[in-house]
Amino acid sequence: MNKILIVDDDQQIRDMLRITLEREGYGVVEAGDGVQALAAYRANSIDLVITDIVMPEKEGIELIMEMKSLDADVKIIAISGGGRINPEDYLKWARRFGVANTFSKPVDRQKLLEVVAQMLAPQVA
Amino acid sequence: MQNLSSVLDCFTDRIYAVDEAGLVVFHNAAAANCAAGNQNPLVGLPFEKVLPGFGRLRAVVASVEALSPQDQVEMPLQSTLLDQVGKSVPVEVRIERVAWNAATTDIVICRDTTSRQILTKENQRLVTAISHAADAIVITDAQGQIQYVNPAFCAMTGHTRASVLGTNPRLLKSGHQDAEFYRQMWQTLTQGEVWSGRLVNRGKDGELFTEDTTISPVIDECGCITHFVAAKRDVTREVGLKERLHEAQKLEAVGTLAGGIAHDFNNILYALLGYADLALDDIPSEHPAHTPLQEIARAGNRAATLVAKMLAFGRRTDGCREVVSVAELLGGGLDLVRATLPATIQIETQQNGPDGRVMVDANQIHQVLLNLCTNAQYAMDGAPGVLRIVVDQVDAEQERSGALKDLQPGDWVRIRVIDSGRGIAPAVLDRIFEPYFTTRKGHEGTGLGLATVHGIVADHGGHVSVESEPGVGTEFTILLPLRTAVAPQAPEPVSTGSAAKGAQGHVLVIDDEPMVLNVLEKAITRFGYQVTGFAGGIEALETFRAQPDRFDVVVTDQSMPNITGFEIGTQMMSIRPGLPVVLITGHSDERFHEQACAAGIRYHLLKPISMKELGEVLEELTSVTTAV
Repeated sequence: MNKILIVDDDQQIRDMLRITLEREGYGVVEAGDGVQALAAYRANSIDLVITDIVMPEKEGIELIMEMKSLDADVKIIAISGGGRINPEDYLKWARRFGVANTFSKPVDRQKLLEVVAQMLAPQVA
Repeated sequence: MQNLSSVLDCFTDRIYAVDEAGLVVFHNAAAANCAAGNQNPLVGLPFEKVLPGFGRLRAVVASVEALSPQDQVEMPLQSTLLDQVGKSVPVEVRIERVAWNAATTDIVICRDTTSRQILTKENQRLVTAISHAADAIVITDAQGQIQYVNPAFCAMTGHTRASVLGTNPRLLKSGHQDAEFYRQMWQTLTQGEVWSGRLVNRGKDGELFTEDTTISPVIDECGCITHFVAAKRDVTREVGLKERLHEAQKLEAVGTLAGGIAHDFNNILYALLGYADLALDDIPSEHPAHTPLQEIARAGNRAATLVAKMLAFGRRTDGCREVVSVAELLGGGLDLVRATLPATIQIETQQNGPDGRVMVDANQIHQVLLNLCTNAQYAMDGAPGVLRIVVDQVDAEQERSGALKDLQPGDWVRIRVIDSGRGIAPAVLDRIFEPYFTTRKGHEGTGLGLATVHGIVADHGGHVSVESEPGVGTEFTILLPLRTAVAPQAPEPVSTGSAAKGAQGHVLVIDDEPMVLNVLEKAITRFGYQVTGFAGGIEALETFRAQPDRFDVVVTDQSMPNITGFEIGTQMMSIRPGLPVVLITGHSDERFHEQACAAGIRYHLLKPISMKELGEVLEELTSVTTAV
């Protein structure tokens, strides 16, 4: 069973994402901020990380950079409620740090599940 | 005689009696006063010495009287009298021929007109001033009938002087002011007081204009109003500018508000929509709660669209871009700036070299100027200062030696905003373009001004940089790509591939290794193409996305950090189908080659690539007139 780490400071969103992903048969580990997320990533065998960008303690961008330095191949989906100037601002940074898949909140559930499935599909190469 | 002489001495006019020989036989005290205190200095003197040209004047009078004894010569005649020190005195002259001690004698009365001439000149000066005044001046009589208008009035209203004289100023009425407005105005005026206010009036062509008007009643010595004088200033432009400024500020406020709530609001919406989806999974469609749940999801989606719209409104991304001259663009922006900054800040503009054309959303660039200039004002701490705006053109080579090393080749227009403020401390200089970063205290700053500047300039494919010296001032530099080669206003060709240009196409080159990039750029330039090089795939993609029709061929390295050449190529082709992409790889992999071909990337070159081969491939790709 693929294990997904959900990082979001909003408990309601974590719960919603957990239920959504568990229904699809994924295992879920939760973290409420970047510090907890790094600890959870080290403690578990994580196949995919879905992280919010704006969080207390450790911001999503910082978390992405640290995870990438821990494991260059880590699979990450970044989700953001948006910056003040442009909803894409933070996600653009996430992409610069190697996050290929990004979503703006509110996220379309179907699209998210498709990307998750695609990223966790066995590599052809 | 003695009595008569005493009477004549009471007159301030100079009175002389001149005999037929032209000699003075009598004069009064006023005439004597001219004569340096001598008792009777003039008696016996030729009158010509007192009033040069007297003989001619007398001849005129005599000949007219001879021709027509009933007619009086039109008196007075203007002449010039010499006083005892030889100074000219302008006078009005009356000559009466009488019998004086039985001899024919001319009584000459000279009235000094010096003070009247001064008054006349003063009047002429005033009339000249009024007729050249930039403000419109209208003079009416007490009944409101127009008696005078100056040329500025005609320019402002479109009416000619002849057409308005004798009419009433109500011919300008636009209907924007109600009867009560005019009633109060007349009440003030008829009480003898000055009225000032703003009116919207209508010109002859039907166009409305806004004027600031002051009307003063003219009151005579008896306390009666004889005239009204109105001075009107056309403030249509100022009012328009203020409205635009207000609009800009309102937009910023909306943008800030939307931005402030967007993040939290989107989180809430996400939870709401996510749970609605989960509930919909569990509740069968025949259940009565199913439709209400769907409605909740629909409402949530509407709210999400609204937030996105508010953000877009704040950013004004809906503005359209067009090719405009830089001088025109800045002219409009500076009007806005001048309307905002206090008069203590002197704004100097300088254009070096020729004017260029840029493709911009003028409103956004005006916002950039406004933000930079209001920042400069803040940096000047309310003290008088100078704000300089210097415009010139630079090419990439020039700029590469400076701070902006990652410029693409091509010509740029450089706009520098230089203030004499307190400068920016080196410690914060690197952070000033960050959103929310502000050095202002409390609620004075939003921390969005320079972030907006950065965002807008970047969206236009430009660059913004800053240099500052504490205590001396700050210089912001904006570079915008010039569009000199493009015919102004020409529609962009809707290209699905490269045009037949031979070696005249534009090649986009991407390689993360600076040395390789440099060699590729040089080689392709030598082939005769225009080249734009990028060391990063993300930047290349962003540039391409902004101007997909700018490039004819894309040459990219495959293996790069962040994004592969294959991903760049496929993403660009999804934006512009049929775009020729050349992929350069370090290893031969048949499967990868097949994959690339399947994705539409037909050219796959192996490192080390031969320049001859690259040249042939580019020639083939740029000579193809139609795309796949």
